[in-house]
Amino acid sequence: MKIKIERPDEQAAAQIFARYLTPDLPLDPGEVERLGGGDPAKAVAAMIDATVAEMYRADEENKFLEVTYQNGDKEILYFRDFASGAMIENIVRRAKKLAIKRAIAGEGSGIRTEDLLESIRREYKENEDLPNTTNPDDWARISGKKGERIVYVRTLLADRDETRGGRSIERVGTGQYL
Amino acid sequence: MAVPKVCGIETEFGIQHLGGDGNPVASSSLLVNAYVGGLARAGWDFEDEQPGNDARGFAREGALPPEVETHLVNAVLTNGARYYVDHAHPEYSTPECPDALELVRYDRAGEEILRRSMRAAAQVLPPGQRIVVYKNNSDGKGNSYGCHENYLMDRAVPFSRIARQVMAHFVTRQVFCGAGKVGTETAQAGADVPYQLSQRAEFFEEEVGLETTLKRPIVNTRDEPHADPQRYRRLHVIVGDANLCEVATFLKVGTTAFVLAMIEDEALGSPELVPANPVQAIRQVAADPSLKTTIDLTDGRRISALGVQWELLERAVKYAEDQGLGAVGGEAVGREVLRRWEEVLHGLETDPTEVAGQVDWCAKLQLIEAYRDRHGLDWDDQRLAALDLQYHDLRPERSLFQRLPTEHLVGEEAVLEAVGSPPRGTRAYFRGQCLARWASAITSANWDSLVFDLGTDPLRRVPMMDPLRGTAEHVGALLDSCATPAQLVARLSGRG
Repeated sequence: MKIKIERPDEQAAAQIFARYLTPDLPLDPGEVERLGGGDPAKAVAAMIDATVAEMYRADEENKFLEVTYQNGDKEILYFRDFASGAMIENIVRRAKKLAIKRAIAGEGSGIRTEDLLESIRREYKENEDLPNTTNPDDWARISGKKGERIVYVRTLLADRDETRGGRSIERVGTGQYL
Repeated sequence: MAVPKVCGIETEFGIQHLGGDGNPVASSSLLVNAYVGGLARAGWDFEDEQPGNDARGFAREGALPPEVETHLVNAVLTNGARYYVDHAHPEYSTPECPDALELVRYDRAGEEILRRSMRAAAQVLPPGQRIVVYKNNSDGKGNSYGCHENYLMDRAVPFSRIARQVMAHFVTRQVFCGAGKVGTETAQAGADVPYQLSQRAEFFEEEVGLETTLKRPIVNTRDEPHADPQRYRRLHVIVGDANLCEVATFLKVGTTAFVLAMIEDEALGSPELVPANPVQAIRQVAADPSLKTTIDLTDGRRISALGVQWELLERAVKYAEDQGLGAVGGEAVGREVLRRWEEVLHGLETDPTEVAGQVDWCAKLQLIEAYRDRHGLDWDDQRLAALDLQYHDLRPERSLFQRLPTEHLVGEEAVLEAVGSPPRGTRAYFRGQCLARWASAITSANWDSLVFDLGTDPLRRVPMMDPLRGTAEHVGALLDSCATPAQLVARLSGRG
């Protein structure tokens, strides 16, 4: 069975954000002042605009994956190509957590735009609903933009931290040997 | 110039637990554990793998709960190989080998490892129980398990070209590397075929695809390079039989390396040899031990499997003249492949019994024909099927293959050496040597990296993204100069 769900475009994404990022949430007072002139609703709208713009930017920083199709063609996919309602909900949830962390640390309260921007990156890095990159078959189900089968997927997300059972792993340079 | 055809073979062995409870997963685990229990080894690192992707074996879909998988044994050996349980089978993946002859040696080492495993398992099993291993590809009841080959290729070659141009070879190479089978197991193959060249051919249903256990494709598209994906491709070949004849393994790998190198160098020439109906053709060729049947090519020609192989050989000879043998194992091995390729085609054409010492299906057929004549049996007699199975039995005292005077390419001593030591000409050398020296400091290993625990945080991952580096030549002196793994890691990165 195949269910195709349309990916939200920028406008749809903003609407979805507005469902989760509401003016009644604790917002950073400074941002409410600066972005909304004291009006939380206006501030939220500005925060959403900035977040969507960041998420939908097709540039170097937002490159997510390089897929190789069966016929050998390659294509770069960006964050926006994998945007979904669930993802947006997660981004807002992450942003709230970041704000709470900051409040506990006594570094100011309320959600800031930077929390949202930071959460985009983390969400893509850690989203477990995205298939493992080593199983192209799963990807064929998700994307396959050209109707061609994807045979290889390479993650392009920069500065990916490696961890294993709580211990971090450092990559060793191997010069002329390996 | 094509990249050197680094190669390897993954064999899933058939397993029978005499007196056991019929759980092949438990039996396979016991078998592998019994062997690796006392060895220097590291756990397999799944960082870059999707083990669920490797769904193979004769267990029917849904027969095994997936959670079973996570407890399976998985070890890397000091010869650079991986020995593990893949679903319901013990599986041995040879280390990466630089040429077909070296691969024969490591394939044979795998048989020895399975034999040692059977003996080790006998020590721990209750009286009256035994685990028996077969190097074959089907349980005789319609379930097939694989013997896959892997070849290093240049990423720049479009996959579509590989798929189109290699098809003719994959359909017809079974004339010398088929392992032979009494009867058929699938509806597609039909019931009226007494003997087939290949164990696996009748199980192929698609031309090109990703699957390996259902709707099996002749050209498999799995693309996990286990190497730098910008430069390399690993062609995963699932269309072969497991061979016992050393010459058959040598030719299977050697000729395929030639064909792939020619595809890479755009030297396969014309006219292009492309079967019009590959799936039908591979079964048709398998079903005809007379080798007379002809298959349709897309250009309208009809040609026998031997005819296709003669054309490929002719082109390979020209390729060797024009471009040398650097990509196909070097001068000695490359020449030997060409010489034996010609010899086996000539023999098959003249009288297949002539090549019974080189080709499994011929050896087995001769054996079975003799038995059938002696006892006046029909082809569907169960005793013939039993004889077929016994050909593949790895127990020395039961193996029918071992009683035959087949030709050997590798000495027994060289095989035993390969059980514990890695090939010198690929990165398997680095993997195997590190494991032999510092197994306790290696927390995990896989094809393209080793993770060292030097006692302090962080763990160190040593990437090995090039199968052609990490050879004895590259790292032999380095390894000898290091007394500890910490020294090795420091020197690798140019500190110390």
